[in-house]
Amino acid sequence: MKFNCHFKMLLLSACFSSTMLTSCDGEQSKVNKPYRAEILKFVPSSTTSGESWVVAEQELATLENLDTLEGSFFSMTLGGLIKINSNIGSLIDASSNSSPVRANLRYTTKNGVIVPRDTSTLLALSSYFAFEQTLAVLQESTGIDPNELKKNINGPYRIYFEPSLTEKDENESAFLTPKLNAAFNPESNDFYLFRRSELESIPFSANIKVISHEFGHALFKNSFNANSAEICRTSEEEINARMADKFFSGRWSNEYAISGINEGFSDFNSYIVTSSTNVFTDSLPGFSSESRSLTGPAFVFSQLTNDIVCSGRFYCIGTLFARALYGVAQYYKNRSDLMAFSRRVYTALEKSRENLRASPAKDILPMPSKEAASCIRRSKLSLSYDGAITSAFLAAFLQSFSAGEEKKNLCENLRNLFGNYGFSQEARIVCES
Amino acid sequence: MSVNLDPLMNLISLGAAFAASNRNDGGGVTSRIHHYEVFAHSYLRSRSEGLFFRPGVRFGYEHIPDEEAPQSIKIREQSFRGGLELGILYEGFMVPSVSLQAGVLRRQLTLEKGSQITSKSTDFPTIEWLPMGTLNLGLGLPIEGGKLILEPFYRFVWIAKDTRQTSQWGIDASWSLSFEN
Repeated sequence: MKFNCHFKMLLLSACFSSTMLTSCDGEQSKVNKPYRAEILKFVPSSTTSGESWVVAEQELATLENLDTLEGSFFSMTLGGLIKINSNIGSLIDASSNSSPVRANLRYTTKNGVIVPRDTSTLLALSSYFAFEQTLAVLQESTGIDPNELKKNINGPYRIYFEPSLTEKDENESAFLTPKLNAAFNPESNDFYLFRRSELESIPFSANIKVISHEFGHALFKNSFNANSAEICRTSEEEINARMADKFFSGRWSNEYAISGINEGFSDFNSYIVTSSTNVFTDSLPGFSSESRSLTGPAFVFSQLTNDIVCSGRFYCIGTLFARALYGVAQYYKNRSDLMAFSRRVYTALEKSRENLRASPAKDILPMPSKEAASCIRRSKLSLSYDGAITSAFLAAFLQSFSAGEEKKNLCENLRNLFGNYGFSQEARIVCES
Repeated sequence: MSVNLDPLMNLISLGAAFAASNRNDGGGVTSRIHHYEVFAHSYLRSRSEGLFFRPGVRFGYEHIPDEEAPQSIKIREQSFRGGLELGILYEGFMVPSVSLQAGVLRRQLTLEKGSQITSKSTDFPTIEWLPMGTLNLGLGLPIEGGKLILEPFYRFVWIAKDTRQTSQWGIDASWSLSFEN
């Protein structure tokens, strides 16, 4: 009898709590498109001191399904397991070998606005919004219709939010959860936003400066790589043939200097989207990132063998390229002129690939080194070899610019930053036309 | 040696518990959560030999370490919970038990932000009330003739609209207080 009484009390308590309290718990399902959410957003400014961040209500214009985070241009997976084959900086050759984890967002709605209830949901929606913001300027900054870009990759880009990785070598495999990074996989067109960390101020995953940098890699692939992943894979039999072929498939994805140019273009894209000159400052305020800053202490190509000057390996070549572009961008005081310049940069990048096959770039371009032909990635700069590659690239790149003040300024910047090693006399011929 | 539960009609016990759980934070990575609880049980003889019912009440606090949270932005969660429970246990050399808990979790959500972030949101802090229930499997180890019982347990957890944690494990320590009729 007593048991029955206690059991009924327990049952009543459970029923009471589930029926009465659920109604106090917000209405998670009643939210309509276009979705609006409280998210973390970057507010750009023409000056670094004027930049700020705000938590505010924003529209997630391209998000189609809140439960699965599927959208017109981006689909986000929370978690997921990624198998890493190799990586070059923030470019990753990897595959997802597990089913994506369904988005498990926690939020309530107030007046139709999604209010995150945990840090993961806040950051995931903020990341999604940052990708949307990056896409919003795409047409203006590159001339590409976002729908065309989507068509080129056969669907939306997939974003893995805080995935885990497995890394395999011949003997063992490791399971890891990287932090303090983000990456783009050109083969699968996936973005990886790695786990948040207590070392970050603004988390990388929600930092539009980082996200627009990674998106720059996607644009580099779409332009310079003609939308091909161009992964360099080793094949012993092919090495000799490759060493005799300046344009073997996969060369550009593995060349140290071109990796640097890719990083530099991505930094420039981050600047175009955010007006910010340093990708890292808001996320890692204590980290010395001056060598990646577009306005940091000056250094030139010939100093890049000295790690004290710049320790970022091929990223340092990227900084030089981005600084040269940034220097020209400073001449454009209004937004439409700046965007027009950005479009010319993108077009030049697109044409560089073909221009490399023509004089003078073709003649300057060295035959692939054995390492390059073997898909071995160097960790050190070779002034002569990499300098010849940057010279060839810059000649091909500049060829698309019409003669005039802009080209003159760009040539001048490149001359000052790359010097004779990285922008040889033979390459500079294009500046005269 | 078995526990003498015979006079338990007149017995209640008071106790404290420590538990831990892994919370899936949206990706494949988990955070460890610590739970601190206090509880009171009474014991009711059933008609079957050696079987007792154990109704009780339990209150707890969830501590969520945020070592991994970024410095400038996070939603801090502070949770208290309270509920009723009913268990069935068997008196023996050890005291295995199965119990159900039903209750509610009160969670305060606070947006914590660094100085470079401003907020236009008026939706924080906010409080959510979440119904919850657990299925608890325990194995009591009587000490001092049953005056003190240490009971390691494993719980399956259900929290409404929060599937980040699905189980907890820990230990109950309870002291019996007997009364004269």
